[in-house]
Amino acid sequence: MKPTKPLTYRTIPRRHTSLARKVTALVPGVVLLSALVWLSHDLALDDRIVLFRYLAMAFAACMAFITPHLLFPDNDKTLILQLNPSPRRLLLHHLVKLRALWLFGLAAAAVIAFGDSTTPAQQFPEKTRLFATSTMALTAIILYALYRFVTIGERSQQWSEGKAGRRLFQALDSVGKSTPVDAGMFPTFMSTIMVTFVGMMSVVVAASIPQVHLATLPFVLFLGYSGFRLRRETGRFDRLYYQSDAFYDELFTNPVTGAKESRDPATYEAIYWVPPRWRAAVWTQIIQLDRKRPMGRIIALLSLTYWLLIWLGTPESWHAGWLVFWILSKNMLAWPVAGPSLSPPVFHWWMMPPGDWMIVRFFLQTRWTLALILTVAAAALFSAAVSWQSVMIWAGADVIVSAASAWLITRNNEFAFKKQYA
Amino acid sequence: MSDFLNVKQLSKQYGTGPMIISGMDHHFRKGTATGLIGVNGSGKTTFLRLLSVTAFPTGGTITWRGQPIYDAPHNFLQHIGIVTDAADLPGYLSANELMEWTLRARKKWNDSESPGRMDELFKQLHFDERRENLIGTYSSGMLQKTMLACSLITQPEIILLDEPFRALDETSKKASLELLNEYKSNGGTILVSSHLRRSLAKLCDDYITFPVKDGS
Repeated sequence: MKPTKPLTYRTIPRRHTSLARKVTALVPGVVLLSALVWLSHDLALDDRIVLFRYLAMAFAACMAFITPHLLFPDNDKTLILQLNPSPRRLLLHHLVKLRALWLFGLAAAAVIAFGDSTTPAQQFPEKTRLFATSTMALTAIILYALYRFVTIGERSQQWSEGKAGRRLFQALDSVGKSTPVDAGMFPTFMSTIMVTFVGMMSVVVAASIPQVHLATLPFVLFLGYSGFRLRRETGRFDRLYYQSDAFYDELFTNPVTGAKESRDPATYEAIYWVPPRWRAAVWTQIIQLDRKRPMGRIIALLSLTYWLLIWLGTPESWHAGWLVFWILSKNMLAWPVAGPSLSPPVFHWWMMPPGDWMIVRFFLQTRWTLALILTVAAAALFSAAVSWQSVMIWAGADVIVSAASAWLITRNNEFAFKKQYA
Repeated sequence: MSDFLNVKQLSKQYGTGPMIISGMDHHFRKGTATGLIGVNGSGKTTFLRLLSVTAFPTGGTITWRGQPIYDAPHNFLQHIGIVTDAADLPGYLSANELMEWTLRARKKWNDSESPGRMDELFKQLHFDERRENLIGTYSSGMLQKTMLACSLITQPEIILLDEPFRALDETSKKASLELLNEYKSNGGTILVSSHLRRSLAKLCDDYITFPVKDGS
């Protein structure tokens, strides 16, 4: 036997990632950082501090939403079982999974603190302090999100099996309401709210402290608290990891709950606006996505928040920023539909060519374009801050992003399969 | 009853759906092979998932040497080998490298002995020189042999096998059965689910028929 050279031992398995995938992942980050450079290059220090607060709030909201999807179910579970890493190494494994987002947050914080093209050398100690504060805030948010979501497995299973939350469901039943998603998702929703709330409150509390030196204190406490909670869980991290992973695995990839659907799925006839050639495929993609995500409610929430921002009289750049978020969220939330569990490549290859699947995804993505048009049009009707012209501009932007998104997810699924085997 | 591996009043349901397993009691003896048999969807894989700590029970528990396996999964998994029917292994490693990694991760690597043991195991499994190739290029049968080899090389006390013979040719099936029988005669405990009753008959001392409802 050829002697094997000793491997550099890492408990955290690394998957080979193609250059195309790396570029695909990097592009949104580079675009966002470029936008940040453009926004902050001539700002005064006080404005930079305000921009950092927005960044920390957005980061908290992002981590609250994305953390469970990044961590669970673990694609490397077969290997994890084989290698059987210790609880401490499992914690490291999760930290490494969140590392890219953390580094992106730090890069954004560095741009805000030091990206000064007019007076780069001025107020350097203050800028350094701002960067240090940002680092603490973003690290605290990430650690808190990890703590919340990794400790969620047991409670989620109890909710899912009807052992917890009985009173809530009885109350909902009594008013004739049903829940749109698996009951096991309630602890996830609560954690999403908690991570957003605690992250944002730390920023609000820090902003309310007039003394510059003391303004860092809320983040120091937040970081200490998050680190302490995670440290306390290190010894039993294996149990937390396997139980949370088991719950999300059952929820995301083995939806065999056997429970009755709370809403009737969309009918084939309801997809009348899609040409017959692609209608059946769009229909099956829509009903799968709706079973996975309450898209209608998410879209309603995004639109209500937009109207709220206008009603509060916030700057126009905020409205535009929120609509960008609206469009990106709507598109990205549909991405799982192109994953192998919902769109098995072999089956799709047999059904129709990859080019057709790209068109199917385009229709899937644009089914909410009318909702966007109505959202902006209603704002234009009641507020002078929104022009009628912008209605069509945003609709056009949504169509372009939908096309790009359709191309991207089909490229990673059906086209990748074709390239591999055809 | 010894405290080797005991299942007590085990039940499992997914969400608020029907019970897949309910009221299951069983004692597994050391050095035996137990076949898990039953129709599709009867709960065999769910039971193996519960034993491999990738699913958690709705009620009851599984204890190993008197301790619930869910309290400290890392400690329990140190003594377990797992062969799943849907192996998702790193495609850019060879079977040799994966096995070395497994041994090093479990702190069982020995510079002088391990390469020889790996070589011997692969030969017994009729895994030819293609084991030097990347796993991404393997057929499903080769993947199963890789999983089986990686599990056996760690010398676990219990091995869990989910449809281990499905993708194997006749020669490899025979070789795998010989290896597993040798493992059993050395004191290893086997839990295996398979539809291939003839293969199971050459290995198993005991059977559990699924679905297991209310302990029956």
